[in-house]
Amino acid sequence: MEMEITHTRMNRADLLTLKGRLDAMHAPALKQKIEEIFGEGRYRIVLDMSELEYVASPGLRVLIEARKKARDWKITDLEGGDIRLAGLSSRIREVFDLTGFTSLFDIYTNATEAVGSF
Amino acid sequence: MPSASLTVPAQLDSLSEICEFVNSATRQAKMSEREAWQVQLAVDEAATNIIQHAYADITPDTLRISWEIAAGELIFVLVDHGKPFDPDTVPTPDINSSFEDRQGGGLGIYMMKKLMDTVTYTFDASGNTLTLRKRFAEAEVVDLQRFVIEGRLDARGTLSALTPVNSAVSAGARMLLLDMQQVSFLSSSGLRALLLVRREINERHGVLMLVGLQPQVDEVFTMTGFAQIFEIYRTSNDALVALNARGDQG
Repeated sequence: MEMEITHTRMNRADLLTLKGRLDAMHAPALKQKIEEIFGEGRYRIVLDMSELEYVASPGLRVLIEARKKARDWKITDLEGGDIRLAGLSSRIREVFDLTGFTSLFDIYTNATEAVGSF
Repeated sequence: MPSASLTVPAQLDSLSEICEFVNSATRQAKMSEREAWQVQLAVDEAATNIIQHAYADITPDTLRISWEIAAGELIFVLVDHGKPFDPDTVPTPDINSSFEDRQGGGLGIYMMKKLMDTVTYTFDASGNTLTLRKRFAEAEVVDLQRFVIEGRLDARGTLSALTPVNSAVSAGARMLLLDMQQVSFLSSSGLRALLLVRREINERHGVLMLVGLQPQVDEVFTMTGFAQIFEIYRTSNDALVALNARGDQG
């Protein structure tokens, strides 16, 4: 019933692997982790959701707010920060479809592709 | 009518207990895995909303959740004593807006309404009452016939041991669970008889489940490769869980 966040730092981006439940109880931990990374001046983050079992609205809110902040950081007009997602299970995908989130994010099949997209 | 209730402190720590409580309701309703997940998310959103908004800035009290199953509906009722809060007053998020215009608020209530059939709110002296209703397809589990097979399934014993099963198959049974705990021996004659039952059931697109195999019987299934052909579970409960998880099959 918990959520685990594993952080892997790469040259291109920071990879956060989420496992468990991203509900109201655990969404603040993700928000805090992302802000820590932003705090180091790093704004390119991939969230690997392949082991995420559950997402509720507080988790979605963290995603959208984090992406807004990440995109405020720009190197050029075309290049800058972003939050990209990978490995959505069918249940998570259903929540994304229901809330219109599918079109709001760049979603990749797996973490490798998502990290490579930066 | 099955029903239950749970009273928890109105704080986020209670969400996992609420989740378990919802799971027990959807199991009793024999909901499909997808319906169960939809109810779980909706109740989780409703409870989160009460915890974060009804009790914002005031000392958290309790949240009482109850459910009942009636006439093909699973009904959840959440009662709290926090600030009156009508979910209908929350603007519906525009799910087609561009990323730049998109706001993060209102999603919980939006999903709650989408995932359930009806959501109603009332407020009176007894507190805030939120009622969530979900219709569900009644599973076909009522048609499942369970047989306890006893003795040795060999050339001598098989026919009599399987007589009730064969009668049920002749009468058109579609879903059978054979409890094999009391079967001490299985020979090729026994296997052949079970295969015939399986063939009949398959032709009518039914279900044949074997449970409680003794180690020596289990070994025969494994050795002959029949373990891959038959649907075998450790216990009746495991079999029923697997059957329910298939949801709207049949």
